[in-house]
Amino acid sequence: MEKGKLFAGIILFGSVWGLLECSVGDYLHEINFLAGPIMTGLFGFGLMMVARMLYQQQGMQMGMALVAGVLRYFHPIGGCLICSAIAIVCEGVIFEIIWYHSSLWPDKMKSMRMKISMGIISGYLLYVLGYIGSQLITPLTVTMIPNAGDILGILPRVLSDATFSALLGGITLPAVLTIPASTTYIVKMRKEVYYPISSVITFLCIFFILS
Amino acid sequence: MGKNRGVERIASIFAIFLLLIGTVSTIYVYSFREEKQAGNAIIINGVEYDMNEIFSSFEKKYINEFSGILLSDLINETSIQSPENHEYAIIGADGYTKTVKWGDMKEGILTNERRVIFQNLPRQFWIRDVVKIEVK
Repeated sequence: MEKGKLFAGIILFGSVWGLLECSVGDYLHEINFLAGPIMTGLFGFGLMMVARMLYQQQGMQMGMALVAGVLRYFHPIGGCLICSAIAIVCEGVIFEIIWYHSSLWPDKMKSMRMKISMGIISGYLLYVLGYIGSQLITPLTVTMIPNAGDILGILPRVLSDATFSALLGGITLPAVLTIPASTTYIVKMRKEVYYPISSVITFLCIFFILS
Repeated sequence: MGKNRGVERIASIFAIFLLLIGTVSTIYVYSFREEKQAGNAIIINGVEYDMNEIFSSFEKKYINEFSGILLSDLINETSIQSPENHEYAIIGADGYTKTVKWGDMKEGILTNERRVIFQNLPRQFWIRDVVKIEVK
């Protein structure tokens, strides 16, 4: 994989993720409808999986999450910007850990049972660990020490909400894996086409997020 | 092939296990919530206070678009000695809890909709459906 193309891909997918967090995520928060589980199990996980399929590159998803997290943080409207940003970055790290072993890579998974199971596991763990990660790290940003009792208190609710994220993950992964392998041609496009297209999409996403 | 089957079986069992944890947690959360939502009272340090009475007795303060009564005023009205030496666990109906210091209580308000808003803390510390404040 050419480094320049990979870097452009990280920025591109991270920006799309950031845009979805700042638009769909904010709307779901506003109507108080399962914002966290939907954003994690459907959009966050889905985008990371698509990027893993297309680029076949470890570490890329952590970079995407970092870009999406930074854009979320600088979005002028919304709920807890710092907690959302931290949760997104945590999700990127957790994705990399879950999908580290090459035998679990998308192209190696053949049976539907395996796809659904891995989708459920990913959706559940991304949500739970992302949420707890943000609960642990956010207080540090205001020089407070995270309170273990507080985290234990919210654990039942987090484990409960994660069920929706898990179910969405169980649908998202098999759906993403229906994308034909031939779509990897996008990544193999000529530089003269690849860079302008990815730059324009990235620019539009960042423009909408910051405006 | 055999190894793949083994991995597949472990993944399936783990996925079912996670869904079971989620289901049990959902049942727990919803039974806990019903119990807490009874009445129009808020419990502060083990004593029940009527929300309507509280709101008629204190001056309203504003944080951004929110209005409510200062948490420190609420605590000062109770029999708690040396409030600055304690920490305060604010608990929502769903069990969401945040523990803050006295300095934060002076920057936070309780709204009529039972929301706690802090001027000085990230929104992670804002709590909906507050049912209890425990003094530690």
